[in-house]
Amino acid sequence: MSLTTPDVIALLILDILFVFFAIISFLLSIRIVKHWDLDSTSSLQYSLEKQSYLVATVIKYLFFLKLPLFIYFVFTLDLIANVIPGAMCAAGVVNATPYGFYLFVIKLINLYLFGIWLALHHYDIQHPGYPYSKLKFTFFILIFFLFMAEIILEVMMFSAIDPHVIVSCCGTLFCAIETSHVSSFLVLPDWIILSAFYGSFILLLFFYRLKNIFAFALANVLYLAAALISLIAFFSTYVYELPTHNCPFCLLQSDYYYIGYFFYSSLFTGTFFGIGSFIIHFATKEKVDSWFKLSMGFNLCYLILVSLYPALFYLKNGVWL
Amino acid sequence: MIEVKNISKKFNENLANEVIALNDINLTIEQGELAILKGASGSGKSTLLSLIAALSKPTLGEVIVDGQRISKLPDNFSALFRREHIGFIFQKFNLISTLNVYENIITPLLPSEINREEIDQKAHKVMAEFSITHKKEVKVANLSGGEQQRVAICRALINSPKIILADEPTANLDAFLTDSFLDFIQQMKEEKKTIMIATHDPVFFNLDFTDREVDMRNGQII
Repeated sequence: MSLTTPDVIALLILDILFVFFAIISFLLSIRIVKHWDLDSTSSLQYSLEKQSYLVATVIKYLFFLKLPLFIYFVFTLDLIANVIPGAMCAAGVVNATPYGFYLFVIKLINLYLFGIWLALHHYDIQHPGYPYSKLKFTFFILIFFLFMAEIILEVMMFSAIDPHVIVSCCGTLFCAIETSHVSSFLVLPDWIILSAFYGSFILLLFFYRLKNIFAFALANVLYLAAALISLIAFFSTYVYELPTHNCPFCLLQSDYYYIGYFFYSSLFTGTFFGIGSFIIHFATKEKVDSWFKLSMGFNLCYLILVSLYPALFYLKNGVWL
Repeated sequence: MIEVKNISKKFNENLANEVIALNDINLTIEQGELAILKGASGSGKSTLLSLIAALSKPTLGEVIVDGQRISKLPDNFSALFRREHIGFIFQKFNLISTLNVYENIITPLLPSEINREEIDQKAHKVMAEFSITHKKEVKVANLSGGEQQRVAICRALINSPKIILADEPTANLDAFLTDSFLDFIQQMKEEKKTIMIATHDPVFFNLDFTDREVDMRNGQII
């Protein structure tokens, strides 16, 4: 291990604890899924019902902790950027190793999956007959592998960071030159990017009015993609008040009043409820009206937040960047 | 109707100190029936009552009350079931010693959505019925055994349960209070409540208003 800051050590200790509890839950989940028969009055079924309560509680707290820990993870990346030469923010740390990007993607996917598991569990305990128990433990077995992949990648990433090696800063990683990761989006005209973003929100609103669950979820996927691209390519420049700075990570820094945390929280929460509404309704047939409202609320919140920056800039300066 | 089907209950299962409290019990108690579960200490009477009240789960078999498989209910739902259908009178009353009479009696209604006025009315009705209204502000720790039992009965009855279960209800009572309790049971029987009393007190045996006496020994009905 070449990088051992207190925050990294804290994350790794938590990872060990998570692995321990996740493996126990995984093994018991397999047993539950394999032998679960709600109609049975056998001793095995009663013991599974007791175990299911215990295992579900363990998984619930595991996932409840993982959600806020994502924020702590990002915060830690930002902190350790100070000790890595060349890194100006978390972007440099993510790109300091070959694992960082994949870890980030898998963490984001897991955020949605953990949220869906928690929702499934919530609906399961609302009914007397354990209606979704088998489903939720099967789902846990599937996401366990992604959960483990995340932890393995996290350990590999922190192990591979060498504080003596100079890394690229976000200015290089998110610029319009051809070799950049996001160059193809950055060279697009603003009107296309903004049309995609605001257009996808109108689409959301349209399907929200229609109460079409599948189309609403699909529109949320589009909105998420359009929101992230437009944030990097357009809105971030107004936060930094610098037309050439497109980093999605610097937004998380104190220089910009940690506004990135508000951006991403509202965007991910809004799209989670939007995409999750379809998955939950498809799997359980539960009513998801409140999910629709929450999704629209958070997505609207994100839209207002990001739109405020260029609007205020224009009002203040009378020009666009 | 209470149906107990092939019920077994083991404690410390698969351990060296495993105890078989109930062994393949089958029993049906009809609506409005008064059944006395009799047997020596350790025969499984209390365990059977606790399973019927959904206070614990069987190791094997099932308990069905009014068509509902209560032994299969998750804990939060069995608590709800108990609150709505069962009045349980414990041997040691299980009152909350730091609360007064009134507060103890209303505890089963607190999680419900009944408004405070209605709770108050129900509490005063049962307190008046069991002549304990004058002690409503007194902490239960300062009451006599008979008074504590009346509070326990009031608490068991405040939600008007269809089923009354009593576990050794006269174990801590003198002869006079035992007679009062018998009067109460007779009254409940007349009100068509389903009643099960687990006891080894001979005073309950061969009463003219009981429907059935179930003899238990070593976790089995004999």
